[in-house]
Amino acid sequence: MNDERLVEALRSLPTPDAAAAARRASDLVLAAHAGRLRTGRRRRRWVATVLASVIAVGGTLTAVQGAAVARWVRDTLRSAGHPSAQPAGLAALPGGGRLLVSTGRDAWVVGQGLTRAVAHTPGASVAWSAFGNYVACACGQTLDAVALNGRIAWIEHFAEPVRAPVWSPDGNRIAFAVGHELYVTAGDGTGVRALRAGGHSTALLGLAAWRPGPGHELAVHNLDGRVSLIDTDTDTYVAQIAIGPRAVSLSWSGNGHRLLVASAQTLAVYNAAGHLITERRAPRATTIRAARLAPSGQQIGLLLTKARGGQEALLTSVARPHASRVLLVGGSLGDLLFSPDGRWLLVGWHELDSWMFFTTAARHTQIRQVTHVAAQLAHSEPAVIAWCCTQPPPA
Amino acid sequence: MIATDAHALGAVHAPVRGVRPALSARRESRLIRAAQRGDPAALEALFTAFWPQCHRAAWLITRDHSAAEDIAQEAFLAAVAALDRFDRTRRLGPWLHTIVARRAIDYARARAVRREVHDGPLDCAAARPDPASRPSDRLLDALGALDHDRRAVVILRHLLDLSPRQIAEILDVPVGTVNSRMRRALDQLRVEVGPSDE
Repeated sequence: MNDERLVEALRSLPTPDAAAAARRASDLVLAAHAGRLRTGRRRRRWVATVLASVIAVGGTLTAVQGAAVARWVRDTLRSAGHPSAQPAGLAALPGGGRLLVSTGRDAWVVGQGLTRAVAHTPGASVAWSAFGNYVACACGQTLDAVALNGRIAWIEHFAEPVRAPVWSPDGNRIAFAVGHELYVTAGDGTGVRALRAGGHSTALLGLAAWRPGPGHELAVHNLDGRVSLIDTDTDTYVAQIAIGPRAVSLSWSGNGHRLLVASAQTLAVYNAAGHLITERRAPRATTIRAARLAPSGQQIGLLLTKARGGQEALLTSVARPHASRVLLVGGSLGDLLFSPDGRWLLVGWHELDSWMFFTTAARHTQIRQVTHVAAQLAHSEPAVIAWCCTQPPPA
Repeated sequence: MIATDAHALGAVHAPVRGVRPALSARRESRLIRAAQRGDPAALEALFTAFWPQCHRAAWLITRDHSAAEDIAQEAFLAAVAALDRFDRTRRLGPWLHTIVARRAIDYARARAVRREVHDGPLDCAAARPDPASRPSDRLLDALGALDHDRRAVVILRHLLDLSPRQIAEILDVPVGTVNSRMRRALDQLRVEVGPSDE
């Protein structure tokens, strides 16, 4: 083979997935180019952020009690008076790790140098595997696991619509709903079975959370006003908690010792046996839209809708309800997630097409802003599903 | 949407020897100036001209299409980030190619150290060439059978048209080493691809 033949052959070799890769890249590159031209606009957005921070400090004055107020305000103003001069990008998120983001059309993985649509998932609900290597997609009547390179690892078909997959923290189980029944499968798609303890003929609300730790216990919210703790390996109830009104979110602490059940007006923290540890009501004239228990189990991130309009994001302590920090006040706040190490809280700010990241330490709150989020994700409305893996997976 | 088919580039693809640049220097300079002023069509034209080559080179070096996409994508994002500072008297292609080459080689070396086992393309490459397979398949197999340093030299020289000196800088080896790797790689390719492609 002479040089000319080799050049010709190399240039004619087909590149796998070339058209789709080029389309994805062109979207991203053109969005980055457009974003580069919006520096002025971005500056104005920072002004809005600064205003929000000031509002946040003002809001906190009513929440923090005692002599620590002055010091706290000073610290917060010093550190939170302006978001990072270098806005973070999708490729390098504050707090590290990667986010699984659903645009309703595609599932994207962003962070750690990656911004990629890994699966076309129109109308699907998605979940992330324990170490972020696979995305579970419930789409129509199928459940499949897709590797980050887009390869479908396995696929299972069902007679009814599949939804709400949740992957266990050890990666060995996926819970999901088929029609009105709760199912579980091994992480490799084998051993699919319905759980009797999941509640036959009870419509699942799509609220389920695996308990971190040994075993495979799942907290599930059913329409009959209960949260059930189910040992999925034995298909038995560990506990059943009557919560009354419909819950808006379930989340466990990182050690699996505490379960937060949030409804529109109530925050309740239970232990792993289903016994109530603490309960409190939503702040006056507000409704809880979303709540997350921090991995430490000591803090709760809250999204509230105010009766007079507007929304706010709040970070509050489980033990000291009055020591709350208003992080953000805006018209359209969305996603709420703690980083895996619990040091950062992400709040989506849809009006500004931004993700705001706040440190959760009691002092020296830092703020980072990632802008042009939708613009970088093929101009779609993004919803953050999970934040994964600041630690490498075990060997 | 940006045209992605290599053939859609038509005349920008050189026939063979003395690989012709994807764009003339004058047109490239005009496009860069327009892109610096914010013209998305100009950037799109630059993307269309350079993406296929960058993506293909990254894929052939890494043999991992996901990594190749990321690497090529990052090169273009770096180009956009540096667009305002870019000296229009320089050519964009070699600059992009160098970024792609460095990152792809870093990736290939890191992967070789990690000794991954789930590496489909390389598994295929290790298989004996099927005499009935298409020439492009045989070339892919033969490229896959090269160790990554030799493969990189072939791709950088013959696909990206980098000079031995440029390749030596990227690989951090003497020019003589580049030449010897090239010679051995071509000898091995001739054996693997077989006489039908001579």
